[in-house]
Amino acid sequence: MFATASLSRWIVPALTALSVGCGSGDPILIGLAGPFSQARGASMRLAAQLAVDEINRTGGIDGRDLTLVVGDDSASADAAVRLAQQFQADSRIVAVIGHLTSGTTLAAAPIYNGSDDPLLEISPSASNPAVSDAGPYTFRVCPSDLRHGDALATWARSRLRAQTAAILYQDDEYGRGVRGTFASSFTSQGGTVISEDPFVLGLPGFEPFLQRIRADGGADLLLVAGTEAAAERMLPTLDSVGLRTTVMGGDGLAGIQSSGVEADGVLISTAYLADRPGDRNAVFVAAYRAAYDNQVPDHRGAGAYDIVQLLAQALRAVGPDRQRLRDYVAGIGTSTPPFEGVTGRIAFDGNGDVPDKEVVIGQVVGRTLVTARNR
Amino acid sequence: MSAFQRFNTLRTRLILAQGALIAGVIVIALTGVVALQRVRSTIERELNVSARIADATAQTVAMLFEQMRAAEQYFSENTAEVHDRFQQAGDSAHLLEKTLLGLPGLGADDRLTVNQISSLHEQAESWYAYAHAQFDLRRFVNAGDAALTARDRATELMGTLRGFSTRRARTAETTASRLVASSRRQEVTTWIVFVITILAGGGIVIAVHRSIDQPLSRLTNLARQYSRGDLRPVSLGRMPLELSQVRDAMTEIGQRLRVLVAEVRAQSDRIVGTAADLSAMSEELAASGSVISKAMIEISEGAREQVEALTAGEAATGELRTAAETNATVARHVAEVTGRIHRLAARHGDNISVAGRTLLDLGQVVHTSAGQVDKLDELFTSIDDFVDLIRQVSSQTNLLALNASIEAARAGAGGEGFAVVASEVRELADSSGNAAEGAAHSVAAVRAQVQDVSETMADGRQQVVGVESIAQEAGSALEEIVSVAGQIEETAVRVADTAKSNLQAADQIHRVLDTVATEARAHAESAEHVSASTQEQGASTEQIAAQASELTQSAETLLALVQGLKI
Repeated sequence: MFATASLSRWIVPALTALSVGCGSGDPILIGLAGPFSQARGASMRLAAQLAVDEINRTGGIDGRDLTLVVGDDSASADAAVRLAQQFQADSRIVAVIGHLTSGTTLAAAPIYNGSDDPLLEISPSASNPAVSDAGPYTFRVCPSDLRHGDALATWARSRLRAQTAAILYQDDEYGRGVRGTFASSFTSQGGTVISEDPFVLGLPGFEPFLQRIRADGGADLLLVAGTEAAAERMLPTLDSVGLRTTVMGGDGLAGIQSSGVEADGVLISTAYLADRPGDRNAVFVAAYRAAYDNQVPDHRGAGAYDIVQLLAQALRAVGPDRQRLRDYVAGIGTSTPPFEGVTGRIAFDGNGDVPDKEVVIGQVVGRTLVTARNR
Repeated sequence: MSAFQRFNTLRTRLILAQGALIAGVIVIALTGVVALQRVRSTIERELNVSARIADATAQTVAMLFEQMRAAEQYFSENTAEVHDRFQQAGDSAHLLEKTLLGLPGLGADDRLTVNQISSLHEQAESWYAYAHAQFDLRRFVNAGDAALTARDRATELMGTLRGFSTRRARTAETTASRLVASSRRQEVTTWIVFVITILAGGGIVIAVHRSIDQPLSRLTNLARQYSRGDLRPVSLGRMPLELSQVRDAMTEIGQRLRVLVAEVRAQSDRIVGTAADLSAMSEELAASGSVISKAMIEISEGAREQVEALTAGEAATGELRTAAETNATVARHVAEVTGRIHRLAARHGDNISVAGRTLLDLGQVVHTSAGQVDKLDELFTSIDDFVDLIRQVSSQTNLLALNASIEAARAGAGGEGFAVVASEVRELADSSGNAAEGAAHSVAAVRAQVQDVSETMADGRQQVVGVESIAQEAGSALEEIVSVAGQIEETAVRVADTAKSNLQAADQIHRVLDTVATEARAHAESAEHVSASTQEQGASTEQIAAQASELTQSAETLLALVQGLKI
């Protein structure tokens, strides 16, 4: 999988340059890091490319093209560290969009923050609370899991009137983060967490966990704190076990609607939904649909799109310099006005977080994720 | 004075050198302190990092052991309490792993290892959870299979942890060696700074030494050169202020000495020239002094001789006086004689011959007298003008004597008596003086008598035929005698007057001679004085000559002294 990462790293810019190259001079390079070999990485990469193409079509950055250097970390901490070292060592790369997951973002953060020439890292979707403290060069445009867990627990208590909750959490930073914040919030709002079971994708399946939940009397809701891939395997098992419950999950589950499994009714917390109101978002979604065979962007894609546009603004303002870019980005919302993106208003706090961003609850309806309606 | 010159002093140089050395020492000290601080802070940081990593690792290991123990315990005691312990230990271990990952000082390999540990932990944990679920569902075979997998992961986890610990230990060694290297670098840096400071200090000391020593040796050489007598100016170049002041002073000394020596030379040359002139002049002076001296001696001798002559003159005038007195006396005698002649002639016609003889004698006397007058005349001749009158008298007397003598001769035999008479006349004339007047009367009487005689003689001539001619002649002779007697009388009177005048003149002459003698003596004394003075002057001149030669010697000594001095 490292070979894939290296290959894509060299091929993608070349293709991009051939297909788009209308600027002059050396292109400005931006790293793009995520699990692009997996379904959850697709939207992020497509949306980022869409934004780059739009910018280059309108003259680039002061006549210079933007070029994405795409690196695949396969959502692996090891691969993320290696990729971060490559990006870090390439002085032409002025900033990195990524990583997609919390684990990879946290694993790579010391590399980006710790060298003599630190590199700006903006994640579209690393929601783990620890990302706040990952370093001054690590930013994100999504709310933290604290917000997700809180939003999910609140929705469960106030909308679903759920009394009991069973938690299956993917045993990684993200899963543990969502699990912890949800359990804490749900309990504090009067709910009862009846079980918290970890899983890894290497396990044979989820049947024993689900069977035990059913044996223990079931639960009003099942929180799947994990990835869409896990949910994809879990949802059919749920049916086979006969556990009737409402499935909820964090934004890790985004994409489940188009996975092919029966996912109707699954509630997903997310910072962005494609049906989000607003002209800016409507234009973006329309362009995305037009460019990519009528697909709909997810929160990772929308976040990546906003990050490219934000970096373009920063590059125009301070030029392709790592340190100046970081300082400019850190000042958005304080020394410079907030950035109005397709995901909403982006204004960074001292930790590189976007406290203004609201988490919304979406619901799988048919094969789409739409804003959840009160039941 | 420019800023450079103002600070180009020994003091400034020494202060700068000392300042540089002190600064060097301070730099060494600071470098040493900084190096020690760096080493210390590095050690502290490394130790701190190592301690935190070791601490987190140890806690992680403890929690993982705790969790694994709870996990195994669950299979014998599947209680909520054991489950909670399993879960809490696992959560704690995850937090510790995250903490470990966030620690600085962890290498990329360490991070990968920690990620691997987390991953293995997650898998072991999940497999245990899965096994626990199977166990709770009483699917013991399934639970056992899952537990085996979980234990595999746990074993791998522990192996990885051991590897991590080992590597951390190696890292500690690496850190230690890095610290050693760092210390060595700091040590080397300190040594380099030390050596640089020593070199710089040495350089500064040498530079300062040179900047002092070289100008000093140039000054010393100049002083030596001066002491050798070489006063020629030398360019000494630039030097510190104090030394440049000494240099200026020495240059000034040299300049002044050169001027002095040149002046001494010029003056010595002039002195030598002047001394030579003086010497020549003193020689001339000495020569002229000896001439003067000789002349003065001669003058002195002349004056002495003059005095002697004058003394002789005085004697002569004395004699003259005596002669004049004698003359007067003679004249008186002449007058008396003449009277007697008259009387005799009158009474003693016969005795005319006798008278002639007497007259002849008289003529002889007169002749003698004339000779005396001649002698007197000779005396007076020696005293020139003062004896003119005497000479005239002498001459007249001589003439008279001659006339008498001639007459006596003419008188023949009778003249012999006349000669005796004449001698007596002479004697009378010699002894008479103041009787001149009387003589004149006598002469007049004589003249009358002579006329009587003459008449007598004319009577006698007739009476004496034989001796007519003689008588005649005698008569005429008597007449002649009377006239001559008259003349003699007049002459005797005149002689008496003249003798008086002579006497006065002789007195005057005596006085004049006396004055002259006095003056001559004074002259002689003056001449002696002059001579003495000249001799003294000669001595002085000799002294001058000696001094001139001394002067020349001094000038030569001076010249010799400055001769060696080069200017």
